[in-house]
Amino acid sequence: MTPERFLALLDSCGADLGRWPEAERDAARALLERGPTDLLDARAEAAALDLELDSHGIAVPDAVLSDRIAGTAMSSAPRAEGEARARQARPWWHGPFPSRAGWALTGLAGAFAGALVVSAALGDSYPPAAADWQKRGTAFSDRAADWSEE
Amino acid sequence: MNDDDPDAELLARVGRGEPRAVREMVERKLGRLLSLAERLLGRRSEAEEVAQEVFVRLWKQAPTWQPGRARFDTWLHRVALNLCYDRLRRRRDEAADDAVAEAEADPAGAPDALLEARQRGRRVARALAELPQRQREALVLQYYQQLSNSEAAELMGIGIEALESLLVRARRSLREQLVVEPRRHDDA
Repeated sequence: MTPERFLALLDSCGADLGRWPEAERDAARALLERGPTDLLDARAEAAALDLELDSHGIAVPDAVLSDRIAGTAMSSAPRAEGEARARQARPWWHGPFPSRAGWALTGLAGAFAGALVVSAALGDSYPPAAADWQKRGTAFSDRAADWSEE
Repeated sequence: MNDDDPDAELLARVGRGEPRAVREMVERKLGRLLSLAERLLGRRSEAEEVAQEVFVRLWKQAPTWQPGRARFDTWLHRVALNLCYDRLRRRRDEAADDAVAEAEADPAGAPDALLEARQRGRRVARALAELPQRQREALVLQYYQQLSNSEAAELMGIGIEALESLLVRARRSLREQLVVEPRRHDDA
């Protein structure tokens, strides 16, 4: 490691070699062991800043906050589990794929049943043959109602 | 399972809804999240809100977490960072001094050493708040959260050289305010 690289890392990462890129720590230690005064002085200066930075502590989270946060898990995790259980308990045709197949089968079964009911209700009454229509009077076939005679 | 991820096993237990794992996860990560959010936002109350929101997302994510994609701690930092960005964006125009206005009052009768330590801490908080946002993020992630340079750079969406440059500028500015200037003051 060059002294320039050492100073650059000191400037960016501070005096604690444990915060330096892992791949460069051994080389930095080896350089320091040679005891170059300027690098040692620079490191002491960086350590002074580290000391100041370390004085900015963050209060330990209180138990109320921890409990509240853990409570949010208790209220959402069982919901997730409940959803999973409900999914398992549903009939097979309610699932994503079976749902579609199920609906399709239900539709086909409905159509078939409908056809059966209609055919049973009609029994042997077939539609009149085309010739029969001519024998049947309709509102329009009554000659008396022929407006030409009025 | 990702063998390199020290949180993977605990996360899997959280995903299975084990109450003890939930409690353990809060103990393991809450302080770390508060440390990140409070140093970035400068306000304890907001940091606590961010931490709560991160945990809500964590609970939702845990059952479907796919190990190996990213380290869980990195994901957690990303979520927290994004929530902090949102808040910082909303109050971009506010003065930096306001950010540390919420500092707790010193308890009456506290020992001198404690008062002095608090004052030093506040001075650092103020100096951090005055840094440009990207410099502050870099320093908080790399120094306080003790992420590697590559992790911090990845989270910030920049290269390692850019991160080191931000760190250098941040530390120089802080050194001037926190080390050099007080020395001048003492010498005068």
